[in-house]
Amino acid sequence: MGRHLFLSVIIAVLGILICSCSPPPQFRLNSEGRDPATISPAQREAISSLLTDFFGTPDQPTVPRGVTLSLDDITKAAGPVGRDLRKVERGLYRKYCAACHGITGDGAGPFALFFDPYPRDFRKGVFKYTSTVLGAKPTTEDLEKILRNGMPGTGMPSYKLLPDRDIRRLVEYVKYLSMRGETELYLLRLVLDENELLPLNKQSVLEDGVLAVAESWQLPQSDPDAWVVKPRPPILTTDGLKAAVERGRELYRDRRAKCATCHGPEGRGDGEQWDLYDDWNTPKKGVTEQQTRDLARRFTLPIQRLRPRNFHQGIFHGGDAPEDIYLRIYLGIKGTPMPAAGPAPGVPGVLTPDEIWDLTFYVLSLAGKLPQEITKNPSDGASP
Amino acid sequence: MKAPDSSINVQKTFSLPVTNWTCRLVWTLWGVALVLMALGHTVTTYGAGMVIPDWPTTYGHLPFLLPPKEWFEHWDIFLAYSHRLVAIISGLLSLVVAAAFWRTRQNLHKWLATAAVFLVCLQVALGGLRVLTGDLLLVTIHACTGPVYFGLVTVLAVIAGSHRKRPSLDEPSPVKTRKRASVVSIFVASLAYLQLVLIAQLRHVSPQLIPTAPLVIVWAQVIIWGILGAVILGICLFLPGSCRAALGRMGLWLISGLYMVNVLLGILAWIVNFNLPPRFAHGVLTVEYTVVQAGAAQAVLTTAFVLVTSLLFATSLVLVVSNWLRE
Repeated sequence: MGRHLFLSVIIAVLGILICSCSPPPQFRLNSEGRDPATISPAQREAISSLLTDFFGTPDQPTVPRGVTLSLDDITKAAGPVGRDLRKVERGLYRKYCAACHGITGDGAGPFALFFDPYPRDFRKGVFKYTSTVLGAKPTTEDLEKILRNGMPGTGMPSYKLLPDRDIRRLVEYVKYLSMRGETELYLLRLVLDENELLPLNKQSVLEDGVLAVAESWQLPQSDPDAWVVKPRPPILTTDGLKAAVERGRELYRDRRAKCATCHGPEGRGDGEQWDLYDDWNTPKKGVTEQQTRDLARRFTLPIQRLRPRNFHQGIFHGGDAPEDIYLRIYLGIKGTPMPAAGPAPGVPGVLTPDEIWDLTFYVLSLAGKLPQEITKNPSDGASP
Repeated sequence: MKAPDSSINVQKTFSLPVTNWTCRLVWTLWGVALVLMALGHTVTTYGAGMVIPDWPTTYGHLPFLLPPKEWFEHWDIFLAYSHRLVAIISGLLSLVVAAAFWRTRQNLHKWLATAAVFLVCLQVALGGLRVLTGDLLLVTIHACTGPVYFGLVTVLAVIAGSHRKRPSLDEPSPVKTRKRASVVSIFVASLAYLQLVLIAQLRHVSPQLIPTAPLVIVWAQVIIWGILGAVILGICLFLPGSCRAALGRMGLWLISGLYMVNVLLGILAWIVNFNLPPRFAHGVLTVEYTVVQAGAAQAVLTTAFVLVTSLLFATSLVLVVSNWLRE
């Protein structure tokens, strides 16, 4: 009996050891929308080896020369979950984010199908809720805010219990994944669409791809006055707010704003434009249903339709403070059909900042979240 | 030839020379195993399984020798180290219980206690190897074996304690009824265990896994709830009274109660982890809720859900063994 027991233990331990040889996680090649069979092994190798040269691996990330990302923060956010012998925590991204956003940041983690909308795919470098003008990357503060507050009504949790240091590290890693993803898209265009001769010139990829992407991330930080919108709510009494809501009601139906087209005449999200898709799902939509079904095979996640917000539910993914709603109307929601109504550098807006405030108060009144009065201005920044 | 009277056999099975001290010991082991399992689930909830990089030492210290300051310095280290300590206590207690039962004449108790020792050793080995190799598969097996150990200890505690309070066996149920009760209890135990296996897959999901797999697991979980609910309802409404008696009134109440708590906690655990499912998120049931990562609600509800599922499995396992003993 004792001998059998001993043998069983040995067999069990051996079995476990054999099974324990799974390889470390790898970044996945972005073949979204493409037939993987059309990418040759040489092209695959050319893209992945350059990306590894510049950005390293999920366990050992590197930062390309000339890119202003903190390697120390990225290293602590990357890799397997745990602490080292000095008790320094590592693997924050895998602990908190990877199950939904995936190791590559492709928004196709194992839990992705639990959510509507899907977790963000960082690889396009597009983030929905920002304080920056159209086409600009989010600021560090924008990403930190999303992490701290989460997104009400979605699976994106609030990380408000995490220390600031960990939030900073996660934001740095998200930026890293996004820069890597955009560089990958650049390489895919170069190799697959423009049939660039292999091997690629590493220096030119660094200058035209990696550093160009890094610079676009740097712009809002280096010149916030030009790229970042700072909301300054008007100081209003209760009567003043009522008047603003009335003006907002008119604007809501106004031809310039076109809010009712998608959000419906009463703001219930039941407008005539209902077949809406964001930038991540638009490529999955074919002209016919059969085309859409055929396209589906080329994407990890099935197509997902956008639903314009029903204001009466009072749920705003980007935050429900007056400043948040103002930014949504002023800047739009990036990567979605929600347009920017405010002015941007070189582009006149369809609404003035005052009109946007009126519309903001009307939307808040529909959600039952209108403040009694606005007595002080929370922002010291200049009005855009 | 006269058939042997089954009631006499049953009487013999239950009239064990198990001392009160052994009984207290085995219930103490049950309490420690419960704490061990609760700590293990909490470790998973907080993602703290890999915070101590070395094993069997802890940051270079032997078990029980880690300075208290280091023990209490970080919440995740506190959880992982406490889990290790309680595992050692549980292992030692299992050995003592097995030794106590090996002194008696009861084969079933002896082998159950020996199996408990084997399982706790396997658990320790799995936990240690997981730390050393970092492999997710090991911790998934660890999470699947844990409830089996707990179930075994529960069965041992219940049958060891049953010598004090003998069940009413004057009128044994007919063979057919007992068999039916056996089948039902085995079915419930299997479903409860399958549920635990599925939960273990979800809680230790590989970030490389394709998104369809977890969705299938969740739907399988929902189907199990449906089947379990139908079985329990069927027992309560349609099974003959004699069959219900064969299952044990107390056991039935416990299983029904634990099942309802299990479903409730499962739904709440989903909401505090993933928010409302998309179908509800755009419907009338929409609520303004933001998931708070590692918040009290998430930690307590998620851990409680897995713990109650383990209790449901252990209770149904007790029913299986009780029926088997009666047969």
